[in-house]
Amino acid sequence: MKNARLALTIIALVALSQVAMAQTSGIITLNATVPDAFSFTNTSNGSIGTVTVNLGSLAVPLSPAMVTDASTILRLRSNKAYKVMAAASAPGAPSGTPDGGDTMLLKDIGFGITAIGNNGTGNLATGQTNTIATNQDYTGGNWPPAVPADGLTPFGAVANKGSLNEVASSTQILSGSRISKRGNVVTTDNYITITLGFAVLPQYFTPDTGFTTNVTLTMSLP
Amino acid sequence: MATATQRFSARGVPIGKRWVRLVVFALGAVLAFPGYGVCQVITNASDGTLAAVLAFGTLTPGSSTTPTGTSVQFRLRDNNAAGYHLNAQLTSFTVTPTAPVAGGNTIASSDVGVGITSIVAAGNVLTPRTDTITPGFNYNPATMSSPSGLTPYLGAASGSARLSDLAVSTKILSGPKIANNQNLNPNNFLTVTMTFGVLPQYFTPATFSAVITLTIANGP
Repeated sequence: MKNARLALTIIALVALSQVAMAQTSGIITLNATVPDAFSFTNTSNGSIGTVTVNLGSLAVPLSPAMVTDASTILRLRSNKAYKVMAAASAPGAPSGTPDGGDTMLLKDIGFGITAIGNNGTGNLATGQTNTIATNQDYTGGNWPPAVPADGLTPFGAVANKGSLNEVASSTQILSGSRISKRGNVVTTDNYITITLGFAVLPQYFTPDTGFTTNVTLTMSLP
Repeated sequence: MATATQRFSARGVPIGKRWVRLVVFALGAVLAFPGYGVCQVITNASDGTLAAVLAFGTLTPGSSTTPTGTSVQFRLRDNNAAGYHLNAQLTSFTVTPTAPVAGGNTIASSDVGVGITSIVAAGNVLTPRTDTITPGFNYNPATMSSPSGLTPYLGAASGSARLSDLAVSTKILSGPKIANNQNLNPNNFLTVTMTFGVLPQYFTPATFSAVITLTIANGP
C-alpha cells in the first residue's frame, strides 16, 4: 500500500510540476538609438560629392559687369540645431607673371548664401529658423552684387559683401534650429534649401589659366 | 487500535483507496474538460524561456524607402481540444530623448510596425490545420515600401499593424489544437516568426525601448 501511495504521489507531483512549469507568456524587448543626423544633398536628394563652379574666362569688358554663379543649390536636413562651416583653399600661383600687378585672390571672389527656402512646411520642424553670417548674407536684394563705380573688387569683411577670404579658414556661414520634423532623405517637405553664390568682377589681374579653389562645407552641431 | 481506525474514512473506505479515487477523478475531469488547466506553452526556439532582446541598432536616416527590420522566432505548443490563441501587449514603450524636440517629432509606438511573417509546423503537429493571423498582423513590416520616406504603417485596421495597436492585450494569432501533448519534445510545436520594422527618419535624437508581452491561452 505504501509503495502504491508513493507511486501515486510521484505521478501527481510530476503532473503538477508540468503544470507549474508550463510557460504561457514571453517577453520581447526592442531597443534602438536615433542618432544626431545632418545631411547635405543636391536637389535630387543625391550625394553632393564635388560641385564644380566654372566662372569661365574673366576677360575685362568695356562695360564692367559682375560675373556670377548661383547654380549651387543644396538641401539641408537635421534632427537638431545645426551649423554650416565653409573653408576655402588657397589658390595656386598664377600661370602668368605679376610684373608688379595684382593677382586674383580669394578676397576678389564674392561668396555667400543668396537664398534660403523650403518646399513646404509639412514636415519642417515647427518654428524653424536660420541665421546667415552677416558677411555671407546675400539674401534680401543683395544678389547679385552691384558693380562698383571704381571698377575694383567690392568684396571683403563687410555685411552682405563677404568673400572667400572670410572663409579662408573654416568659418561658420549659417546656423539654425532643427530642420526636419521627421521623414528621411527622400521626403519632399522636410528640408531647407540654400543657394550658394559666387561673384567676381573681371579686372586686369595677372593672367592665370588655372585659378582653382576648393570650398569645403561641413554641417554639424552648433 | 485507535491509529488503525483513523485510516478509514467516514464511509468506511480505506484512505489509500480514496486517494486512488481522487486521482482517477482528477484525470477524468481533465479528460472530460480539456479546456481547463494549462495546456499551452510558449518558449524560445531552444525551448527555453522566451525573453528575446532585439536590437534595431542605430537608426540613421538615409534615402532608403524600405524599413529596417528585425525578427524573433518562438515556439507554441498546445494540446487543448479547444485550440489556442496568442495575445500580444505593448507593456512599455520608453523613449529617452538626447536632444530637444525643437518642433520635430519623436519616435512613437505608431512608428514601429509589427507582424507575423511565418508559421511553420513541426512533424507531429496535427494536420490539416488552419492557424489564423489576426487581420492587420499578417504582413511583413520589414518589406513595406515608403516612397515618401515617412512611416509606412497605417495600423491594424488598415492592414499594417504597429506597436500602438497593442496598447491593450490583443489577439494576434489563433488556431486549433497543435499536438496531442504540450511537452517540450522536438516535434509538437509551431515555430512563429514575428517581425518588427521601423523606417529611420529625422526623429528627435533618442534611445527607445519597447517591451512586448506574448501570452498563449486556451481557445480560439
